[in-house]
Amino acid sequence: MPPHDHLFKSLFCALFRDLLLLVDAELASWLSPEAEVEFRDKELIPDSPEAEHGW
Amino acid sequence: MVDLLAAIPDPAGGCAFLVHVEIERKAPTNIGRRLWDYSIRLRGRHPEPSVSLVVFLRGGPPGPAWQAYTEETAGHEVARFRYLSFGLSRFPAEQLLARPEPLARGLAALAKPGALGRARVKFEALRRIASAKLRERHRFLLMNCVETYLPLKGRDAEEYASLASAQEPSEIRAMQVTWADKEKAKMAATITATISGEDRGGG
Repeated sequence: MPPHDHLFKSLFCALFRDLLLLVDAELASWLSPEAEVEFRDKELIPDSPEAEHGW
Repeated sequence: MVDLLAAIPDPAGGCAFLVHVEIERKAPTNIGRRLWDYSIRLRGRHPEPSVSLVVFLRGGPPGPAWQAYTEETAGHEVARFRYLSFGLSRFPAEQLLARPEPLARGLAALAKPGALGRARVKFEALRRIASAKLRERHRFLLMNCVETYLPLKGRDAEEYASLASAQEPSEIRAMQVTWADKEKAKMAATITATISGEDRGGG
């Protein structure tokens, strides 16, 4: 996995509510500051042929 | 594999919905189709609805915005998929720096410096990260983001040095020490691992 990807994944996991607040406050309102977000980062979905992250 | 899949809890202890996040270095033309494809696959595996978000580190529509991907058949719209995009490189850094969320200060490093200039953006981002109430691990991640994505050289580096020397609060000085210490620790760990590997290899 490219190092950039790791950095942003770590950042967004650590400050996930911040990310939601930045993109859509209404969406973020579903998540209280104390709530624990479960990350299902082991989720495997085969990439579609068009998949290209531009790394 | 998806980049991130977050389960947003509901009050009953279950999952209200999923948020699927893709991180893209640049904005590909087929991103709507790809996210729609992922969304269909996720829906097939999970009973909960999902929201898709793509973060463009470079390019893409600036800032946060809802986008739509549509499919047409014989001139009729037969599918419409909505997703969120968050383009950083064309979004004004000033707007991110003005936000209260600590994450915004880290992401400001990737945003458009505009009239503030790169040195001022870096200085303000680090100053605000240093003074924010944060876990140290989160502070380190944000510092790492700023240091990695907003390197300065030449006149920008001189301007930053001038800003830091003129106004440097104690928090920034402390963070710079912390940053340097962690960099040294990482380097020491790498050297130790290399030496250890050489020893095991009989070198």
